[in-house]
Amino acid sequence: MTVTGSDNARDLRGAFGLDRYERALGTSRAWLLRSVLDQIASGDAMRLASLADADALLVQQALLVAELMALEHLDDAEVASRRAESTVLRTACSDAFYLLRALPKSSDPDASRKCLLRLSCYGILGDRSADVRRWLREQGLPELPAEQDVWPRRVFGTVADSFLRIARKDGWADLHEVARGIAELRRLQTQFEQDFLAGISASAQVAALELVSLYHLAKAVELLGTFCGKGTPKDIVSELKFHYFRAIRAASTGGMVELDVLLRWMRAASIQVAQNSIWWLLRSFNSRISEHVRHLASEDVARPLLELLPPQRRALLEDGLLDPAHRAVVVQMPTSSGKTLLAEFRILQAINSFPGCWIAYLVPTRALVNQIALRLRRDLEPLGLTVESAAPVQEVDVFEEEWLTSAEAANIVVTTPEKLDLVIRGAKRRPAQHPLGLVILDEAHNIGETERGVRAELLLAMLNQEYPDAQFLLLTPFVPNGQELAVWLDDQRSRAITVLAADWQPNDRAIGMVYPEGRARDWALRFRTLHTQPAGIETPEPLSLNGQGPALDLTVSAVKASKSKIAAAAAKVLSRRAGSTCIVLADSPGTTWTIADILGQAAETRATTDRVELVKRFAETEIAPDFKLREILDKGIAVHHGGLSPELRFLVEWLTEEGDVRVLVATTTLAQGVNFPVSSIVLATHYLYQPNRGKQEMSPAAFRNLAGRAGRLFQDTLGIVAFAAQERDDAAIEAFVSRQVQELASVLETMVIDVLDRGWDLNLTSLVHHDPRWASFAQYLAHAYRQAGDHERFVADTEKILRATWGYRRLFSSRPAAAEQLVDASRQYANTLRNMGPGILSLVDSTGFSGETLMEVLQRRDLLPSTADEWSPSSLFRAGTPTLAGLFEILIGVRELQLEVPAGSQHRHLAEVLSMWVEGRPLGEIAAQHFHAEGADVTDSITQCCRQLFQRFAQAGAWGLGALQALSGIDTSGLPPEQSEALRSVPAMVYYGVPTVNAVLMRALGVPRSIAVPLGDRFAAEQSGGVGPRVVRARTWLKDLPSETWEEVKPAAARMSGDDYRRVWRILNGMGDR
Amino acid sequence: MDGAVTLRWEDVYRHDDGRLRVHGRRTTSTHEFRRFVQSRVRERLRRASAREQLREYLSELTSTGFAIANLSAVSPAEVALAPWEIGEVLAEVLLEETERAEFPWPPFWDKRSATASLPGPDLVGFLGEEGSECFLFGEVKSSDADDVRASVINGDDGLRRQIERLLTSENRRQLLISWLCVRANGQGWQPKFDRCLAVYLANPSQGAVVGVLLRGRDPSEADLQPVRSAAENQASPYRVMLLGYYLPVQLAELPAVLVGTAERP
Repeated sequence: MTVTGSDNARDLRGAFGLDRYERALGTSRAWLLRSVLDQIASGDAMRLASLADADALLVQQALLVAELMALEHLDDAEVASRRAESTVLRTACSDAFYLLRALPKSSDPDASRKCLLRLSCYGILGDRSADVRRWLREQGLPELPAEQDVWPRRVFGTVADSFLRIARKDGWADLHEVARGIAELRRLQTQFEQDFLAGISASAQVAALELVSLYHLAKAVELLGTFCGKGTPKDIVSELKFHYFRAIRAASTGGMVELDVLLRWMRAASIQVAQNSIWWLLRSFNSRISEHVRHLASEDVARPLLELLPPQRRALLEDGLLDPAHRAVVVQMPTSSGKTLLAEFRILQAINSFPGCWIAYLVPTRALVNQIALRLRRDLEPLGLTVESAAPVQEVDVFEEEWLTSAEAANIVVTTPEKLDLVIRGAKRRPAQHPLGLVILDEAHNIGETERGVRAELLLAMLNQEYPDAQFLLLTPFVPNGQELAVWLDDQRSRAITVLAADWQPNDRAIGMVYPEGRARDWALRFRTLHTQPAGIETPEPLSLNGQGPALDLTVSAVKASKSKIAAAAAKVLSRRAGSTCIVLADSPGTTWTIADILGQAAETRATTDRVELVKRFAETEIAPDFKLREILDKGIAVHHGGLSPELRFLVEWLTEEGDVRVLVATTTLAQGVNFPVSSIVLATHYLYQPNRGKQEMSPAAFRNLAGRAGRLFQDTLGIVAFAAQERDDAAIEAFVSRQVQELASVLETMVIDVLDRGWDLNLTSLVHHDPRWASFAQYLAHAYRQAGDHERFVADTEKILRATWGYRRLFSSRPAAAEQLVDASRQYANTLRNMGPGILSLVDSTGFSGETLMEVLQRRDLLPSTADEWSPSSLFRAGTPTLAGLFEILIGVRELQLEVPAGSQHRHLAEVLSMWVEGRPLGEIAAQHFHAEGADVTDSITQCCRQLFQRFAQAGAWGLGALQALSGIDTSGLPPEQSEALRSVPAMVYYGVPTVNAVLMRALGVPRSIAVPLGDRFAAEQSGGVGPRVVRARTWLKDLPSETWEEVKPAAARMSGDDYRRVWRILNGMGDR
Repeated sequence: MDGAVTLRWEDVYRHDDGRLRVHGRRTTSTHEFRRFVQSRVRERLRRASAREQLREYLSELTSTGFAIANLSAVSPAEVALAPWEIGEVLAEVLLEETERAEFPWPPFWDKRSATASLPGPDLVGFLGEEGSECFLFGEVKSSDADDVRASVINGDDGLRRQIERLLTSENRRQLLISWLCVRANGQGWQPKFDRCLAVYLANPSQGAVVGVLLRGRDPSEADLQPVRSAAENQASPYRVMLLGYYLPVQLAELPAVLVGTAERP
């Protein structure tokens, strides 16, 4: 179409006035925010804002523009999504969706039905299916025509209802209803059609044409419903085109204007629905993937997956995610876009291409290791694949060693990069018949962000060199230079998939500042939107964010004085959104308790649930009877930070997902950890504590990732992110949100530039002493040196070894002189490596310490126990023995461990804490004895105790003791098996806080600490003759263990019953609590 | 178009305030009228062939699983057109003749039967000279009833309500434009459509609404008075034309006139 002489579809907007068009769109988007805030203020979840007449008219007129632009390109719905025509269609339909949704609704069921049909079609074609589904769920479907209504109206009403159900896909129930509804029409046809036709005096032909059209439409919708559920008929698109063509033809012949136009929309949308369906994948892929699809869509699954999100669809069907010719693939998708599903498909593809291979799935945190392992187990075990997780601690326990080296090796291993590094470099490598087929690195942007990033980078470099057949999949939110990462890993066979990073978001988001305004006790909160990238919803003026009356019983000046109070007030209001959760982000565990207290004082006790009571009993048993978390849970409030045990954090997350927690006050443990979305996020601060760096502003990428969690994909139409501010204007916050995501940079590159720019020498031997990141690099070289087997060969290959790293490649292109200096420095370091000798180099690989550290430790060899008896757990952890204290005296000096001991503490203190921990003493007791500060309450001391234990001591202790054991030269091979295992399990005992080998096994499987010992003993007694890795057998045993047995073995003083323990174990293992 | 056959009209009432024009015309020559209908209207009707098509469509309907027996009974080989059906086409031709309107797509039947689930207005086309065209939306009513107001002017389906809706419902007008849009591609009238669209987008008040009344009775200005009042009460900026065409034959005779069996001296 040409308008004003140009071929460009944009000219429609130009003819209308681009400003007017943008204003209309802005109005419709702002309407969404105003509706949500109205709902919060009124408590009415169905309430919608209204538009002023002039605004409504403008929106309506802009809607015509969007519709006409889309109509021109309806046939492009089938064209590949990156083509310009398809983009025009998608954008126009997305605009039409926003515009139509904001317009006033009719109460007449027929009019409402037609409006919803159009809205659904626009949304489906505009890649807003998730919004359509939510909207239809929230608003409900109009009443069907009554029995006495005229026949064509009944037919149309039923068919329209069916189409809306397909768009809504509220599980299999909707699809069944589609089939039932259309079948019912056929049954009623004879009875009602004849009466209808007989009653028409004039235009019988038109009436007949209308019915012809509607019957073809009914058939098309019926087929679509069947395809969405079962994947048949396979030629669904041809069938749809057949029937829609005839429907449109009949409507056109009969001059049925409205039906004619509507059918065209429905045709295009139906084809899109078919292509969005998970069954569409079956057309292209192998049998394993087909099997997986069938499983995901099955009626037996609690939440069947019937439809792919646009980013998933594009990655799988258009961008070659599964093309085996692409060895290295980087997928950039917004948070909550369904990356894990893509990873699953890639896993299946790899196993299909390389039967017998194994897959490493790498994530940055312990919480994510658990979450991903659970998810993969749930989804892939039905296909006969096994998933194991390796604890993110720098040592391989006896059970891990068992399943790692077993003939029935796990297909998929989920762990952290550091752990995999150890597994590969150490003597724990997999048998040759199980080659590494695929490495998946999740949250891959961490390569450039954290100190651990350099380890991940070097790990990938090492894997790339040693496993040239292994494939790579990197998952990351958007970074500007994703392609660079892909090419680093494989020059020739790489692919960076940027899936709609700029223009697709799972939800709409409003990002802004919340500040109090008013006088004395008559005040309210205001919400002012900020301009962000990608653009969120913006309104020109601040809006009220209100409940009824001030959110807190304080004066406005008292509230303004503290961002914690402002945050608490905002959270209290936002948590009123029906069925929603609000997260408040705080900078420390102490602040989370403060905010939780403020909220607790303002909130009422809610009716408790069985789940909450279970978690309370868990906290009483595993932490302390008077732990504050119990009180605030009664009010629907919880905290989440490093001062809780990992299991308790998981249970808090579980309660949140179940809807028992309305406000969750958290630190970055949540921001960087588990990936579950919530409705709203309030930031009490955007300065967060980073290990070894103190308080730092969040990076733009971290903020985007966090903001991406506001708005649950299929539940919240709008996610809200609010910064607590003391005044209407806060330049620091405004500057912060407008910062762009920077290009990802290699930490290694940064390290080198940092040194050179300061004028220092690039002397690795010296640098290793000052910076643990250089220790990681030194280890990389040490391993490569060992692999080379020969000094001259290493020196000759140095550049090649460095070129495998991303940092070197970037240096080479940006600062070639620096790159050359790095090569020289590495060659120099080779001399140091030669002097260390093969023994030390082997220990570098098996312990994860640098050679320098090992040499220093060996100078204190006198402190190392030299006999097996001294290393036995019963001796080592016995209260009062000096051995453990001596070991920690060494470990405090080891820079890799970064054992920050609290001021005034000594190595003896550390040893005592860990002894109590391993012995199994409750956390409350350890806290009272070793972490109680003058004037602090029980919760403070428990928080401190947990932080130190879980974030430092347990990990570092386990790692360190494992390394020292290796250095002590103890030969466990000559010992009786039980004794050998006990010795080798010492690090794991420290990590898990239990004193026996069997208890370690239980803990590795998520059994609560207080029952691990007796349950472990019971397992050993009942399963002593078993075959196969114990982890696998124990998991099955635990699954089948009746409540009565749990009850028998539980500690007498435990506040949890046997059934409680069993439920908690099931929850921690993702099985549901019954 | 058969340029030789035109009608001579006599104004019987007229009111024009620049925005609203109420205009009654009468043609008295029966002979001329018959020739006009037999040439201009008959030619337009030949483009429509729903009857034949319906039979063809029914043969494919079995693929839907719905029964076709009742529907088959609806499509006899030949059924005479009803007077009001001819009236609709006649109205289009008359508007083209007297108002320089253009209706690019085949005529419609009455979609606003109470039974149609998705009814739409009768007329959508263009109005005006090249360079000053705009969209034209309209409704047609035909009636020889004594009380024409009760018959086709007032009431839910009456002309008054229909004109009100066209003036107030942006939705309704936009639907018609969308409908034309999907047909415009590659057609000779596409440039005109594009020009009208550009005008409409730049200023949606640039448009015209027409209400047509056909009668084979004596003219009376009172016939359209309710519609005029409704239009005057609307604040819409649209141009409104309320046109009464008074014919020399009764509407009931139109089918015979069309076929040529109602010859009169």
